[in-house]
Amino acid sequence: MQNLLPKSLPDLDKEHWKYSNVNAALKKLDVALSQPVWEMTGAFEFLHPDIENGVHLSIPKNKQFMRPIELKLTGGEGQHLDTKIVIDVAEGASLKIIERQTGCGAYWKNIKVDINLAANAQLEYYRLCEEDPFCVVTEFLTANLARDARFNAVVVNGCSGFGRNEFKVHLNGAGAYADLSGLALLRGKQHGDTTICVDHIAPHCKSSQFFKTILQESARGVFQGKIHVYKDAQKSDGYQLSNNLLLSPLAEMDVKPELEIYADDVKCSHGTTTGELDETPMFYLRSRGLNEQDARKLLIEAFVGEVLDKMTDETIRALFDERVQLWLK
Amino acid sequence: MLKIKNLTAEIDGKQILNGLDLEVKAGEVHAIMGPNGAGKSTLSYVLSGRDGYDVTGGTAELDGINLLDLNPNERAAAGLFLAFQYPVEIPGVGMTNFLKTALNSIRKARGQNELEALDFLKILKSRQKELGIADDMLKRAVNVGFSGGEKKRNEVLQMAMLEPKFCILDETDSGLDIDALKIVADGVNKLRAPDRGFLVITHYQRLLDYIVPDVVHVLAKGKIVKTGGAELAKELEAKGYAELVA
Repeated sequence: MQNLLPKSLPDLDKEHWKYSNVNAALKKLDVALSQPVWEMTGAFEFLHPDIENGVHLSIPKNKQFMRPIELKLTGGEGQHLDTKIVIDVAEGASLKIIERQTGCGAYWKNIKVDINLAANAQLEYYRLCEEDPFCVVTEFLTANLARDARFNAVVVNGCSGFGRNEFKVHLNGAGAYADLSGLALLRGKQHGDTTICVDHIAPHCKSSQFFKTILQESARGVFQGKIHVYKDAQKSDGYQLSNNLLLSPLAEMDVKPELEIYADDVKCSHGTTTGELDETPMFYLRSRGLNEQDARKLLIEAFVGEVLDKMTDETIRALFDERVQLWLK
Repeated sequence: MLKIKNLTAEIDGKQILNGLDLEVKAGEVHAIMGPNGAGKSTLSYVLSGRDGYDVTGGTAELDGINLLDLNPNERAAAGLFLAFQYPVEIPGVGMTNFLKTALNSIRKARGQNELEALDFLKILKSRQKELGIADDMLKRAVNVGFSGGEKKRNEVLQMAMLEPKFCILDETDSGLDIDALKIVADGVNKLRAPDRGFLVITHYQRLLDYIVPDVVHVLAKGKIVKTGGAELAKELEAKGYAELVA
């Protein structure tokens, strides 16, 4: 197939791409535009046929899904997959989505996710990335939340060769709530970048960003998180925490927390830690009989467990937990 | 049981223990009192093997095994237990999982079989009942959100679960009100046994009203400067350390 797109992302705003040179990563690939094939479980009746290279789900008013809907995309050698997921959730409806990304070979996935939650709609969004270590993944998620809508996202990234995950959340209606959390597991020469911006546009909205990274060998991680509170967004409650664990002296983590606040009656906080495993809990566990290896294992499991605990669905948590344990071995 | 001979140790090149001698026999409770900076906490960390505390001389044997040759988990397996002055919070590690992993690690190191979940829970329930520990505490992460009293009771619960030969209590009374202190002391007293020794490290005499020691030592400038009976603690409380330290 002929390569139809240039092998780069155009018009990158330099400030937010400072730590991640995606165009350099793409230059190393030899890919051609290919047809993305999404595998999907359930909810077929709500598919909208208007998107050629992606999936468009439109959930009607007050429809409640008990079972999660799984969407899976597999990448293959030499492929450039340019695709889109659109999820519209009408008033009072709720659903759970699992997005699974896998693949084998050197490929580039460029994914756009558009989420629109109407008043009082709810979406639990779980993403599990187990990509090939030589691929490039660029994924841009945008969520628009109307009044009292709830958006919970948990992203486990165990990771691509080069990955950029962006989240742009607009809290457009009063009382909207976005809870974003994620875990990036990086090793080898992997590069994993999570970049988030939550816009508090309406008053009385709440948001949380809780992201963790574990880095081994000479992996490099990036976390850029921003809370942007608009002038009229009084009583905003924004929270951000980034904890990163360096398990190798060669690993590198760049963290850039940002608060941009124009309203005067808000509660916003952010924090970040990056370092090795703490000596104090290590000694505590060892004084209780755990050998060094077991103590490390328990502390690392605890580190990831705090993110997995954000998953309210037991079955989904078990699936993610199993995949994370495999990575930790 | 515990024999310490001419122990010297330093932190960052600064000598803290200056030839400390101490012997505690099985079944005895010894108290170590002393002013701030005397080396009380250093002694507990040196005996339990914490990084950053360099032993420069001497021996510390528990039933003939030199503790100083062992790493912290081997010392725990050999029967040593340190109740921390500041028990450590470990977010994400559940209490029950922690206790089970600890007990099975020690059993494994001692050549005993590891306990199945059901057998473990039986032991846990009985210890929990003896110490009056609520179920709720065991559902939380290790020490996370625990009150001062709960943290110290948790140390005693661990002590009861791991059944050590020798226990060091490092300033167990710090941060406790009198009611919490009584509960913790009561828990410790239940664990007193003819084959178990205790070293109670404290700044204040108050704790020793509830855990009555057989012998009281005064630690100053890194060595034992005076030894006496339980009455020595009362004397110190009245007169202060100034005379002995000078």
